[in-house]
Amino acid sequence: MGAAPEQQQATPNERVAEFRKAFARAEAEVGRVIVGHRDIVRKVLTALFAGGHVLIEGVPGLGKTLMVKTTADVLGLSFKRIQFTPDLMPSDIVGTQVLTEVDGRREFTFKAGPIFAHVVLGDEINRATPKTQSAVLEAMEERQVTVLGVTYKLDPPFFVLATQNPIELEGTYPLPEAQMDRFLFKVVIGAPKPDELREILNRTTGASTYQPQAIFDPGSAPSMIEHLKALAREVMVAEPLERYIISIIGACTPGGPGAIPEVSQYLRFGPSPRGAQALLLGAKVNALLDGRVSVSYDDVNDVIVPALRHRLLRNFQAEAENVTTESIIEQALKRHTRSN
Amino acid sequence: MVNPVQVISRSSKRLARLAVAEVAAAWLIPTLLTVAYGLFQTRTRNLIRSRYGYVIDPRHATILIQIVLGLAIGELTALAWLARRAWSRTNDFAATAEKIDDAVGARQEVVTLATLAAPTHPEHKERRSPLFAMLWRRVIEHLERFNPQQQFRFDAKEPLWRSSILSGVIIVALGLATLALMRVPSAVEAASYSLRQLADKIDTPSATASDHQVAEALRDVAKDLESPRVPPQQKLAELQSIKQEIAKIDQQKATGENGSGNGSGGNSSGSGEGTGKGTTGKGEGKGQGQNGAEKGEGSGSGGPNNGAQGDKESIQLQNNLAKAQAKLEEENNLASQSQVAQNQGKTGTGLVPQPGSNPNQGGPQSKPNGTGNIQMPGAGKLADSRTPPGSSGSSPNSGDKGSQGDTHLGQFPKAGNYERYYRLGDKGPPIDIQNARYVTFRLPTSVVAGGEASGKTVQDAGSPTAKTPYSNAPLKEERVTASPDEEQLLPPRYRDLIR
Repeated sequence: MGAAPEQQQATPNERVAEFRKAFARAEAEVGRVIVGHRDIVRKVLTALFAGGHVLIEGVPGLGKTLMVKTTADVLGLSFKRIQFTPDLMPSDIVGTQVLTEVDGRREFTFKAGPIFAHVVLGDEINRATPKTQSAVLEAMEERQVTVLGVTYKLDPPFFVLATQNPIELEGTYPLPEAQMDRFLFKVVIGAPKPDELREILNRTTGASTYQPQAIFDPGSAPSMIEHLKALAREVMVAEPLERYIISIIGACTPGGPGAIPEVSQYLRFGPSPRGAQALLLGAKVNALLDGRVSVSYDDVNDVIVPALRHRLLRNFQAEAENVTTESIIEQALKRHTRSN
Repeated sequence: MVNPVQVISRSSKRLARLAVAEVAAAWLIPTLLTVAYGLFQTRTRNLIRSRYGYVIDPRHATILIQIVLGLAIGELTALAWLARRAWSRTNDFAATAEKIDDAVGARQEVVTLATLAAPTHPEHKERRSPLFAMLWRRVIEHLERFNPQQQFRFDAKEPLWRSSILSGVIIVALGLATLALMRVPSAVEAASYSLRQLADKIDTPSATASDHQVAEALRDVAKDLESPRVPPQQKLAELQSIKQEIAKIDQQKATGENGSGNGSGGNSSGSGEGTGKGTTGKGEGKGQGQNGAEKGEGSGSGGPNNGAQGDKESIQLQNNLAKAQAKLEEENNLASQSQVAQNQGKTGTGLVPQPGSNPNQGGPQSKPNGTGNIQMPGAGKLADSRTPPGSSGSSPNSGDKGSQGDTHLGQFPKAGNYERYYRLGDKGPPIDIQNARYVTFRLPTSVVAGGEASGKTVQDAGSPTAKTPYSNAPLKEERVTASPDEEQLLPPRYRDLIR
């Protein structure tokens, strides 16, 4: 892959082609390690190029951690993993000032925590206390950490993939709604199909395992990714599309304009403006992947569920009746045509 | 090179025109229907009058026309407003671009370009990204094969369907309104209509100047009869005079129909007998001289013949005129009574009806002196107080052929101007009697067979003939078979109500 300055000189067609090529290679490389879950991989990469973070939900053993680590390896980015536990402290994540002796003098120096990496895996993030969770979530939003009054910028690209286990809820601290909102997408990993499971066995229990190849040069990966992220933001959107996204948000908001009955019946809160941003950013990446430089309705519809499912807060009735946010979103989509 | 902005603009204009055309197609037919109803309302009334015998009051008809014209104006206004709205709605740059997107499968690339290059929103140019050039090229590729004329065509199915629904509603509404306003014509209206018909019949292009004058006179009378401003007395007078005119016309017709023949027999005087054929309007005569040696033959020509139809119409006209006359007389009486009462009320010194002078009281009345010298009415004076002027011998009615008068008014009905004498085996035209309460008939002159098995009938001059017409023969069974407790003449004002 060429360097970022060269990209600036390229024509729009070449830039779009470069994006598609990089994305396809990354997808293919991750796919050589992760069996199945192609849609999950695509959504993770989409969120990465859209500049957001991803919350991955799935039972243990489905390859969540492997997927994140493989993604980091493929993109040639630094990777850190944080295993969240109830006794994990914020300083364990962001770092702390330690007293060190330099030239016979003692002074405090900052020892960066694992948050200082391009790709950070927050494993079982719901097992840490809210105080610790908030330290990560603040870094996700601000892309900086403050320790003892000193602010430290996080190197771009900063990409957090947090996992949470939907079972074993005892002793966990579910993420507050406000903090859930900071994830661009929430993807749910399901159990592999039998043929996928057989392939997993073949790949992981043999004598050798495949080592993914980085798609970017080791030194230029961060700048290349930042450049592709910028390209995604250059994708144009028509006014009717903007109105469509706004109307979708309204339809999923209790008491909002055009809210469907299920929304009013089963939801406490609807998506925030961040939800609309997530929809549009994800749609822009989808447009680029299709070789277009403008967003279409299909691009938006493709990311509605991962972008909104964790932003809809169900009420007690919904939980009692086992009504999922996904089903509510699908109902909203069915009744909400583009003409609305 | 295709210019996407121009293509979208052209398409937008075309879609706007199509939208206006669809609105026009949906509204024009109902509007024209309404206007046509308003314009041909008079003809519709005439058709209803001639075909079904009902009339629509001119005042109601005027109101109906005003409503219909108002409706038409409303429809035209709605059409203009909807067309304008359709134009403004469809003449939308971005909306057209979306339609083009769907047509060419451009996945919202055209509408994105339209958003960023809309001539009406130059400020949107600031939102263009460096990728806009690529978008422009891609849209050009999409539009290279796009033709607005072929893609956006006028589809008449939907607007015509809407138009048919709208038209149906309007037709039903106007039909119901017409039905609601239709009513049975009054006697005066019927007479007026008959007079107009007669006038139209007379006033043909080949008619003479006198015929034209007669026709005009008939029309004037018809107009006056319908006019509420003309007093009943004047109407009556006009009616009387026009009846005389009609009688003359009928007489002329009868003369023409009954052919006359003259015969001459040598140098002797002879007498002739003429027979005429109504169907040909020709007559022929044969004369026999006194000396018996000479015979003469002659021929005569009759006037235009209308056969049985003419007789029927003539009878109908006579009937209508008689009814109208009765009605007018009734109105005239009421008007005069109210005038007298009004005068009495005003002055307080008016004449009090004297006993025995009450014209509405039948039979003998006691004199005011209380002597009990009740005068029994003499023969022929029983109903003098209610006998209309036309019933007396000196009245203008005395010469008509049959007035179809009303016994309620003391006017004894006379037979119509036709005789249905036919020889054995002959069949004349059927008599079409409608809405008649009485049929007046007279027994024919006795006929005897001219000879045994000869099949010829001749008049039996020796036998007594019936000369008194009989009337009040009920056409059908009375609804109430029980005899009434009290026999009373039906007041004229209820005549049209009770049948």
